[in-house]
Amino acid sequence: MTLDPITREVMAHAFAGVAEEMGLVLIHSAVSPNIRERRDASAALFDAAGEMIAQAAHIPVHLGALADAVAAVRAEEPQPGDLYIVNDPYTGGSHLPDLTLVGVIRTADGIGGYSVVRAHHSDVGGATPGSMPAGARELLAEGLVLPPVIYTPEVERILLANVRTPEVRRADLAAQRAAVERGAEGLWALAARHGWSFVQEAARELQADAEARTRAVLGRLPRLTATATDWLEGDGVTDRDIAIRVTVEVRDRTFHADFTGTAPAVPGNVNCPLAVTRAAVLFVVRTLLGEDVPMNAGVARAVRVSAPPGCVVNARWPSAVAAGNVETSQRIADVVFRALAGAGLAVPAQGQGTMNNVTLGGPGWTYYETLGGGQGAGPWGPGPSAVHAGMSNTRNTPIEVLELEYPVRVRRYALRQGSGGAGRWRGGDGVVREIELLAAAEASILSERRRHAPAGVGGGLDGAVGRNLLNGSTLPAKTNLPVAPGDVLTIETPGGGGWGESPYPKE
Amino acid sequence: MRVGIDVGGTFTDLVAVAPDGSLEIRKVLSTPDDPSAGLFRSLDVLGSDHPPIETLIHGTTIATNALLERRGARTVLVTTAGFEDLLWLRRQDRASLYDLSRDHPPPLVRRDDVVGVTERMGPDGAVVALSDAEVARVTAAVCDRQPQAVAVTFLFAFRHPDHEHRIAAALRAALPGIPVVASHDVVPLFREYERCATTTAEAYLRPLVTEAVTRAAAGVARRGIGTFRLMASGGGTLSAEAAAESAAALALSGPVGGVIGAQILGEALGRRDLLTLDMGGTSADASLIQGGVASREGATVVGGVPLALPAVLIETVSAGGGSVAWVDDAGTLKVGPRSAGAEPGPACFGRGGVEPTVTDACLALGWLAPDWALADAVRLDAVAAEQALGRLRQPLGMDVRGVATGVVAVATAVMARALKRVSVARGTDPRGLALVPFGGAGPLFGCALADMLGMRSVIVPPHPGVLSALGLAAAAERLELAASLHQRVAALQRKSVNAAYEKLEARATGALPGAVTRRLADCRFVGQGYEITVPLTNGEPDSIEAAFRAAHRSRYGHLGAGGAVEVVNVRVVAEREGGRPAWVRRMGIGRPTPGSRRIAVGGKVVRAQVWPLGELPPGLRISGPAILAGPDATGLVEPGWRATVHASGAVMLERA
Repeated sequence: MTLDPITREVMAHAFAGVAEEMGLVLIHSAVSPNIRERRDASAALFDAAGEMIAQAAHIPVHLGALADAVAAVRAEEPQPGDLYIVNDPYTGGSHLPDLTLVGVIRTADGIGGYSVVRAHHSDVGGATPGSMPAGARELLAEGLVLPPVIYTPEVERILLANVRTPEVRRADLAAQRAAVERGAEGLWALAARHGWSFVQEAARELQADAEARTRAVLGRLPRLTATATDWLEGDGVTDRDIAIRVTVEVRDRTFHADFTGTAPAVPGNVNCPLAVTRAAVLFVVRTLLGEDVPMNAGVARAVRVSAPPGCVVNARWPSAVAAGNVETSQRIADVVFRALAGAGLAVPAQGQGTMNNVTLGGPGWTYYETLGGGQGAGPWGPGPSAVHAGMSNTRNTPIEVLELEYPVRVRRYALRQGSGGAGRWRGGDGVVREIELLAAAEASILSERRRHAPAGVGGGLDGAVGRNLLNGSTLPAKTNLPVAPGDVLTIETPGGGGWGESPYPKE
Repeated sequence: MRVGIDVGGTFTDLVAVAPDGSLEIRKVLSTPDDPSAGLFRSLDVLGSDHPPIETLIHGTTIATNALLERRGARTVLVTTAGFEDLLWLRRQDRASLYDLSRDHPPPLVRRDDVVGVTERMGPDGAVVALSDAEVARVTAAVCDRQPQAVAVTFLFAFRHPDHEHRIAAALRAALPGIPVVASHDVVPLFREYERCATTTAEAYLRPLVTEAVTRAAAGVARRGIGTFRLMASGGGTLSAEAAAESAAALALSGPVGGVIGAQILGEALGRRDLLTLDMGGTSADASLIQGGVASREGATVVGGVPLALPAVLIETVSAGGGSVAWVDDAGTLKVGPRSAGAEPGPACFGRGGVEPTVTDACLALGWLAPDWALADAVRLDAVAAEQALGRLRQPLGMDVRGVATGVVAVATAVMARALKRVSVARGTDPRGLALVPFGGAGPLFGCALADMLGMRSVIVPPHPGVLSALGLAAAAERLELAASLHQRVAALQRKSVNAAYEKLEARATGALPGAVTRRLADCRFVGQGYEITVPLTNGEPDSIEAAFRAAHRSRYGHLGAGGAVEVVNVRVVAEREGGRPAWVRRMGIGRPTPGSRRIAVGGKVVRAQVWPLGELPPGLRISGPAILAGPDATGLVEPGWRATVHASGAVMLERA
């Protein structure tokens, strides 16, 4: 069967509509601010072969990575109607707070596909409240590890017994589960109308179509080989720079990214599984495509990612990974963009290159949030200010929500004027968020670009590096510390790099 | 009699409902430079040979367009010191996930026009006091900027408005004649960004809206019309004075009339659960009516500005008669979002358009007839339509009919997505609903859309092209008032809750004497961020919890973790009936003879009967394929569908 271009477009809308519905069910009925306000979650539909059909456009770092969760569940030989839960970074997960539910969609005679919802839960146990500890030296210190297992009431009991805020988790998981069910219902409704074989065939054709369109774009690029290196600023255990090196090749209408030359896995938790690395490369490729290319498994088929086993970007158990998903993923995207810029492609200057993860927690509460910053300028114009650049796109927590729910007071929330790099086009400005503690708490900060600035391109200047301060004194980029009532934590996020020579002479 | 006037981008429609329920319909070209000119011209065209007009209800796009085109007042924003950048920080998500060249539209105020104030409220009250000296300093700083309007948004003013009160009072005293808008008056709800953006929009729009509304009201009064009201986004109607104080509430004034028209038609037909689709020139608006009530709660963003105000649920997609069809790099056919608009319009309008549009495709398929007259005598040019569609023949490898078939199929898919967002995405199964397609071209797509959503019932209104104006003419006067409560259901004191409702009811019936009031509650499980509004089934607070649990289960498919339920706001809706159309045919006794022409449906050429939509006798049965050709709109009964004409003139289509 070959779908005509019209039916193909019709089915693309139908599948995308189901994924959108799944996301809405989660956001509108979840209770934790990190999911309901910040939308730190993703929803996707997969076909019976485990290939992604559609994803609600939420967060890039979840992009290709959900496919690994489905693959891990499929390796367990699931039965139709099963619901799995997984967060193990080494079997389908990303980092432990991302709990992923995989629903195995039942048909009359087998499996019709998979409905998948990943959400960042702001505590899954481990050494510090919020489960984003700086400097953790092994996975087990970061929280409860769940390999792909059937999500039974017993599993839920074990999970809730290992977290600091069980009631919030229970309610969020109920919403997440309902979102998975909505995905299954959506696919059933399509199958009731068209038949399962048509639905499967349409999914395959949409994937083939996305692959063809991705390859067409890659085919129009000059044949290129480019190498670039960028650095992480320590792993939370030591401050030493950690090299991430990539060689990008575009040949045979395929995008190859090889990370040979990248540093070996480190003791701290900036390591990441290859799933995260693939997601970051996929994000860069996706920005080269038109807006209207559907995001499904087909795009990933035109992308090959390799990395030496045991390196920072292809870590092995029991390496700790909490910051890998949020920080290393940013650096991977940065280094790939840098390689493309070096080869003369029109890509933006570097953006803030960090998610500025702030976690606070005390008895009965955990708060997690990531802060936006400057995006790099591009040949098309200035970089946007105060947005998540790169691998995240979560919203902020409204100040009024923060103060209603947690013992904190925000003293200032502002653009960080002048932090974007100058140039023909300016990089976007970062933000300043100043938080006063009203109760004793444990704080964890995981951040980057506190030493190596987001680079400008083509004569554009670098963006300003970020800063973390406690009562005016500088804190390390990655740190855990106790904070007392009256303490003021200030996060200044990096600006984006500028693009092109400034037309104004230097003062 | 009552008159509704809907000023759209292309046409201004007027419907008059006489005391006996009979209708008069007029359609004139809009006057974008001065919308009230079109308004008065439609009244002129109505003539004077009619009963006196008691009430005129107006749907306006003035607020919408001012936001889209950034044509509002120079506004100064006064906000808590340390948070002056709120409107630039937004919610920190980027404009596009993957297109890194895109940015959000700029805020409505200049950064230099933001004044920070040393004061601070927290969840439990004042954290930093507001001194008299600071009030004086801020007042002077605002006056220096010579604003045309002032918005005041302080943190936690939704709960503790004292500081906003004091600053606003001082500014009003210092700036006579300049609107000063405080956030706790406009939208007393949490989430500072959305509240600040809404308050700023209110200030930004107020001078323009006040001027336009006052001018229109004066003109209406000069014509001896007793009552002039404006449709608001929430489905209520506002007096000219009230509209001048609620300018941002007019942001959806235009599309709401059609939803009300569909609701009123549904009542006459005994159909209380409807999906509606208003297909215009550049976009299509979908909405949902359940139990005879239009859903309210849609989050509204206009021109990049979020508006946290009550609004009828409307999902808009870029698929209208003027939407341009094109082929992308990969050879896929796309429709919209670009539109040929009113100028030059679709190629077949013969006014210089060369790109193929949805209307051109409908003409090429024979769904529209070349001799069909649009308002002001625009005739359709079939040759121009085929030439335009011919531009896509080669990239798609199809003949013109294949291209046209594809264009309508893709437009249908885009519109279906809007219908799904207001139904399935909210837990409502569309298969139990009837679809009401309207607008000039909407009824051509009714059967195809119903098929895509698994619906078996389509209702083509008697006057689909002017249903919005009809809805305006017949709209009940409606007022919605809310007060924040923030209490758990278990802790509700029956007496104090009833007192809160009675206070709102007294205010509502004071403003709308004789109105019927209903009690509602905005509820959520403790910890959730979004509320569901439920009616108090027996009027008493003890009915809230069960109603909320049932609504939550139906919408989200679960009951959370069985947590406590809280009432965030109590809400009262007051309604006073409008004039109902009698839905009786005034003409067309006897059976008209159908014409016939060849049309293409689903890629096949078939011979279709052509019936005059405006003159069908009740009880007439029609089998698809058939064209329903009316003076203001055209409909299509696809093969496999059967239609019966209702006494009202509505055509009821059922899947055979």
